[in-house]
Amino acid sequence: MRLLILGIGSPFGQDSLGWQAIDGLIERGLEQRLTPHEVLLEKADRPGALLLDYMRGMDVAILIDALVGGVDPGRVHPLTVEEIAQGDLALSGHDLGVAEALALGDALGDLPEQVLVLGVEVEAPEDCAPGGPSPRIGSQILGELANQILVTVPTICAPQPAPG
Amino acid sequence: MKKRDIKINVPVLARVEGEGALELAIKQGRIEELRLRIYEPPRMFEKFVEGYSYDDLIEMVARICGICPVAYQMSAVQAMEGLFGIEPEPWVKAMRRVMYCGEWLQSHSLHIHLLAAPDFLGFGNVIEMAKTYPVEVRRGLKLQALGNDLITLLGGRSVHPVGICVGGFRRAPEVAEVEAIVQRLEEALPEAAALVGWCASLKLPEDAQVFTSVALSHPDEYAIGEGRLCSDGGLDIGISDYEKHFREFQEPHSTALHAHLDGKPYLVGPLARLNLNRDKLPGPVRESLEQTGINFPSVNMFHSMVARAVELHLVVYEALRLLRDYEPPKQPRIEVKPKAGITFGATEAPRGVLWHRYEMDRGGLVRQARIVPPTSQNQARMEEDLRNSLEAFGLDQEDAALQLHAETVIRNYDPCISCATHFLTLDVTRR
Repeated sequence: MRLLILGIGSPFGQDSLGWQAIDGLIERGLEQRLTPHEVLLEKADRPGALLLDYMRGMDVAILIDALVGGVDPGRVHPLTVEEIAQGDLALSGHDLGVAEALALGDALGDLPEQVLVLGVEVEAPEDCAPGGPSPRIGSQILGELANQILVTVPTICAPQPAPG
Repeated sequence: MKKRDIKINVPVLARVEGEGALELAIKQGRIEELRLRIYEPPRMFEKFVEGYSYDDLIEMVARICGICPVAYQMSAVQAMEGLFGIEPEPWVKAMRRVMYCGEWLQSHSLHIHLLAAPDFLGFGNVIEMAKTYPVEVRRGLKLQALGNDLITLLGGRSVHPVGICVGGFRRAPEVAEVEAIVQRLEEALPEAAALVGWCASLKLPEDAQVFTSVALSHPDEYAIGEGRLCSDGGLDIGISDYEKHFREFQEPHSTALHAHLDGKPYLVGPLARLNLNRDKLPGPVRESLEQTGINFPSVNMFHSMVARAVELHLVVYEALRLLRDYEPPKQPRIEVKPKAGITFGATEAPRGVLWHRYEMDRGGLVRQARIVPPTSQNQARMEEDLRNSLEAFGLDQEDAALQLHAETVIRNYDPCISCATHFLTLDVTRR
């Protein structure tokens, strides 16, 4: 199985959580813990529609991104493509985000067999002091992300029983 | 039959870059009020850059736009080098054209496939279109990615690149990096040529209008990074004379300035460029245009779509030409000594002429800046076009049809409101 774990974000502010997660997961030796799968841990800077390029040729893609939930900052929300692509989609080059790219990939039939989005809830942008330091991802969140991946991967990568 | 009074409001225009709205009031079969309202807050970039150095300026102006950062950097670097008495080395000139080709490629591909094509194929958006036209949508994404990678080759990254500097580039790409991208350009060239025919085959509305095309023109090449400001009305001036002929002014409904040439709206962008500069197209690109059977200069605004495709073919061709025999330079940049004075820069952003004026002090710090982006220049023309085009379409059409036609007209300009706000939501009133 070819497995992509992709941190989505940018270098600054709360949007950097996706990137920090990849660094943290590499440090925790996640790659080794997922053998024998071929695992690629990567970071993407606001990829827009080019998210589909990152996922091309992969059997499984797990996308880690910061999300504003308004419930419980720090909580990890596992989301399916259907769940994430059901809202109002913004379709311009400036606004084309993860939800739009996944909906486009789904329409094209170009998504990996399994796509899971792990959204790490952050505070609403208006609650953050502008220009403040980027919050560091805590070991608790990293632990939960690693657990979600370690629990999910064997399930979705398990050989499917033969029909009949 | 009694004429209806209609009011149409489109509070947020979709598939345009940034935020704007359209308000349309029709009374007794005539347009009483038409406003392309740009409400995105002013961005204040011209004030932000004051007090920063020429080097910082190149990094800062890139932040004005995520789609066309290269254009902002190129106009600014041209202005700085002009003031400091630097003539860029041939390698630098060639690589800047390659980088600019990358930006046209990604921007044009994005607009043709993801933003405009759904209008002409009868889909609400590209996601709906992708189910019927997967091959075309994949082509668009592939060409867009190639454009981004061309920018990254020279700029380090595709959004807000950092490679360009006053005096040249911060780094020259390795031969192996260039070879890999040359191979992809070779593969993309026939696809780019085919795209011209595909765009010409779309059911584009017939909509002849009277307008003035304005673009940079260059004696030796299809102007991208430099040239004189020319129009099909006989204008032929150096870029430093821009303010003598063009006037920017505030309209209450817009946070983007409007612009007039000699008191009238004018057009910038792909159609204007092709109308003025088609004789500078390289042979194979001119052939792909001729095969469409469409005659340029064209007064059908919807031929912008074809012009954009021709330019996409051009930039793939040009990038390939300039990179095929690539050799790294001895040094990618030369040393710079700042000078005080007033200086100008103008290049062709994907959406049209992007004009800059700077006043610099002796230490190389910006004292004053003025930046005139293409979308604000096109705003008056878009309103004029909407008025003509909606009347030709028929004001007695259903509200939904009027709205779709109006949005199609606007999207045809590929407006970048985020750049211009220094702007789209339709509001139609029938009384």
